[in-house]
Amino acid sequence: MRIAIFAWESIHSISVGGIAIHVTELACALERKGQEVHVFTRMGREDHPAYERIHGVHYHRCPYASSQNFIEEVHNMCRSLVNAFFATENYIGPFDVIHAHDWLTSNAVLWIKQVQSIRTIFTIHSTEYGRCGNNFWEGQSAVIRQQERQATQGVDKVIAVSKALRNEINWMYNTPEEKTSVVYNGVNPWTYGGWVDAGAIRRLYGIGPMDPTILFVGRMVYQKGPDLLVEAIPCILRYYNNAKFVFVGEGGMRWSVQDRAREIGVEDACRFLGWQDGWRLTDLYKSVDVVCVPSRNEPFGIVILEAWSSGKPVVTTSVGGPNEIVWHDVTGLKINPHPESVAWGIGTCLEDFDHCQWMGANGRTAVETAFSWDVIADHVLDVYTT
Amino acid sequence: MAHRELDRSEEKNESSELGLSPQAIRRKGRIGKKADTTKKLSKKFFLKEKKKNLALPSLKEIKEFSRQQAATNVFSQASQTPAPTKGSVEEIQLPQSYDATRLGLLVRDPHWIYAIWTISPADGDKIEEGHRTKDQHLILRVYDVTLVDFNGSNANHSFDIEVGQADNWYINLWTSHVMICAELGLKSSRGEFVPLTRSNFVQTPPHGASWRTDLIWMQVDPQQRKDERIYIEGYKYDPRFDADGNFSSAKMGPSFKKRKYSLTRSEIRLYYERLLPRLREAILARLRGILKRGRMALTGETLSDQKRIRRLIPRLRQWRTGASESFLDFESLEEMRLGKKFFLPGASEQLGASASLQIQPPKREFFFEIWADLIVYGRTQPDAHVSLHGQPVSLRPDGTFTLRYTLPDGQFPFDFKAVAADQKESRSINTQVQRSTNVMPPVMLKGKVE
Repeated sequence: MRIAIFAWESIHSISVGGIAIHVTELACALERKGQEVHVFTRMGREDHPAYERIHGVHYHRCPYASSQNFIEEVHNMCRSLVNAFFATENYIGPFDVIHAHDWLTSNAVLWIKQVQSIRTIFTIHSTEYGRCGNNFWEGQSAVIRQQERQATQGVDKVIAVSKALRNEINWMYNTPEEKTSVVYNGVNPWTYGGWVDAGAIRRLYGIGPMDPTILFVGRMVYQKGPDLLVEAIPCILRYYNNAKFVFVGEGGMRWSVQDRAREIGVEDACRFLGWQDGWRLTDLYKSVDVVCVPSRNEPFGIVILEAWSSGKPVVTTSVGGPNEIVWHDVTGLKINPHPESVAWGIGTCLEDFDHCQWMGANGRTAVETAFSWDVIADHVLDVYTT
Repeated sequence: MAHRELDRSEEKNESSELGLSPQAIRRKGRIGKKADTTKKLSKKFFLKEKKKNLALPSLKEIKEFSRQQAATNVFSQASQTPAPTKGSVEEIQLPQSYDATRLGLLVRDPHWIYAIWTISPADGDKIEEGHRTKDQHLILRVYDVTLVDFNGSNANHSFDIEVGQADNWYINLWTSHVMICAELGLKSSRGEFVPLTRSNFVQTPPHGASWRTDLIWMQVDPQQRKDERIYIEGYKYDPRFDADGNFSSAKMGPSFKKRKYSLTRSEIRLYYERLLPRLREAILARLRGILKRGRMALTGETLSDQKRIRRLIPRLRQWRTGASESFLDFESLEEMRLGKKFFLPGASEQLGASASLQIQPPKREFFFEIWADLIVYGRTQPDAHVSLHGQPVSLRPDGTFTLRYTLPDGQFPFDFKAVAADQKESRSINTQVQRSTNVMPPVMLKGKVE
C-alpha cells in the first residue's frame, strides 16, 4: 500500500508539538509493516533537502510563502503540499491512501479529492473548541472551526485520538458515528527503558535521594491544572515533609503558579524547570516516584503513556482520555480536579510504595500491549483498509 | 428583655426625630469626645426633648416594669400548672441584677464587636445621682490597644459611645485586625470621665488575606529541647515519631494496610487489549495476506490451508515474533519453524494472552469425541506377591488381578514382577502401550466453514 501522510510538522522538519512525534513514529511503524510511506510536510531549515529518505520513510519537504495572516499561511502550505503530491504521483504512480493530520493540512486533502478519487483519512488530535478552553470564540477561531467541519464532512474516515474527542466531533460537527473511529495515541516505550541513577538525577535538581518526588509535565495553562497541584502541596507536606514537586513546562500560568507556591510557603518543595525535552525529560521520568496529571480537560494525555513507559504510576483526573485508558488502582489513580483530591491521590501512592511500583510496572505492560506504535500502526492500517 | 425593648423603641423614636439611622447616631457618639460646644448643646437639647416627650423611665421604673412583666408573663403562669420537672428551662429565670458591675466584649466579625454589661444596684444609684446632679452620662469608651501594653492612658486612640439605658451595644469599627478594650463609665459635660469597669481584650480578625508575601524564617535554636517543638501535640499521635520524638519517614501509620491484588500480567494485557477490539482480526487477516504473498495460496478455506495456518499461528504466539512482521515472508516463516531465525520481541504479536488468536471452529452443534481407557489383567498363584514398577498389586482370592487406567497419547511401559510365596522364584513381564491420535479438521459436506 502506498500511503501519503500530510502533516504540518514532523521531527525531521519543524517540530512544534505532539503531532510531530505522532506523525514521525506512525510513518516509521507503517513502514515497518511493509507499506510505502511518503510524508509531505513543510520546509524546515533552509539546508534541508526537499526530498530525503529517513528510516525508510520518504520525506517531502515543501517550501511555501509566509504571511501575516495565519490562515492564509496555512493555505499557502496546503497548495505547496498538493503540488508536491501530484509531482510525486506523476513520478512513481498513484497513491492508495492520503492521511491528513489536523485541520492545518485538511484543505490539501479536500483539494486533491476534488479532482481525483482517492481514499482519504483525517486524524483529529484536538478540536478548536477544546483548544480555546471549551469556548466558541469568534474571528479566526470560527474560521478554523469551519475548516474542521469541512474536513470531517469531506473525507472518507475520521480518526479521533480518544472516545471523548470522537463524541465531541460527533456532537459539534455532526459527523456520522460509523465514519469516525478511535485510534489512541502511541508512545515508543523503548525510549524510556534502561536504568539511571535516580539519586544522581535528583541531586541535579537539589532533591534528596530518598525524597518522595512527584512530577508534573505539561504546558502551564489553566487547562492542565498546575495550580491544583500547587494547592495540594501543603496537604501532602503535612504527612511527607520531604516530598518534592517538579514542574516541567512553560506557559501563561507559570509565574502565577510559582508566586502562589511562594505565597503559601511551599516554594522550597517545588522545582520549576521550565521547558525540557530529550534525555533530560526522560531521566526525570525515570527518577521520580509518581507522575501527576491534574488536567481540567485532556483529549488524550500522552504524559500518561510516557510515565507508564518509564514504569511510573500516574495520578490523573478522570476527564476525557485519561478516564478511558487508566485502570483505577491498577495502572494509576483517578481523581477529581480538586486540590484535596490531588493530595489524596498522591498521598495514597506514597503511602504504599510497593503498590505504587506495582502500578508503574502494570503501566509499562499496558503501554507495551496497547500503545506501542506497532499496535497503533496496525490499528491505523485497519482503518485504511476497512 | 424589657430593657432592650425599651432601648430599641427609644432609639427608633430618636432616630425618626433626627432623620438619621441608629448607626449614624452611634457614630455621632464617637465624635463626641472632641465635639464642639454647638454639638454638645444640641445633644443636650435633644436629651431634654427626649425626656419631655417620651418621659423616659428611670432605672427604678424600669425594674418595676420588668417585675410586673415577669409577674404576668407566660412562664410565671406556669406555676399554677403542675410543677415542671427539676432542672427544666422554665424553672430557671435569670436574675435581674448580679450585684456586680461587669463589661464584656465579643467579636462578631472583623468590623463589629458586641458589648454587654451589667450594673450593680449601688453603681446604678451612683449613675442616677451623677446624672441628676453633675450632668453625667453613662458612656462606653472604646480603646484601640493594638500592639501596646495597655495601662489606661497609652491607647492608640479611643472613642466614646453614649449608651443611655441600654445594657448591650453593637459597636462598629472602622478598622479590622485590631485589639480592642472598652471601659464603662460616667462622663460629665465638662469631659471628666469616671470609669466604673473595664472589659476584657478582644482581637478582631483581619477582613482579608494578608498582604505580606515575604518569607519569614523561623529561628532554629540547636539547643532547644525536643519537647519544646511547636507541634508537640501533633507528634504525640503521629506514628512517624517514636517515643523520643525522633522523626522517621519509614514508619507507616497504624491504619496502613497493604493492598493485595491477584492480577497477573496477562490479565492486565487482556484488559488493555479490549481497548482495541478489532485489532486481533486485523492482524490475522494481514497474516493471511502475507502468507498469500509468499505463494502459499493459503486462503483459510480449504482443508490443507487451515491445517497450515493452524500449525503456523501457535508458532507465532510461541516465539513472540518481531516488531515488524514485514519479515514474515514464506522463507522467514520456514526458518522460524525450524528454529533458525529469532526476531526481537515486538508488540503487535504479543497479543496472545488468550487463545482466541486461533481460528475459531465452526459454531455447529454436531460433535464427535473419543477417549480411551487401558485395562491390564493377569493371574498368578493366590499367595504370590505381584508388583508394578515396585508398587505392590493386590490380588483377588483366586489369584487374578485387574488394573485400569485412562490412556492419553504417548508411550507407557508396564513392568510387572511376581514373586512366589516361598521367595524362591520370581518372574517379570514387561509390556508397552502406545497411543497416538490424529484428529482431522472438520469437513463440511455442504456449505463453508463460518
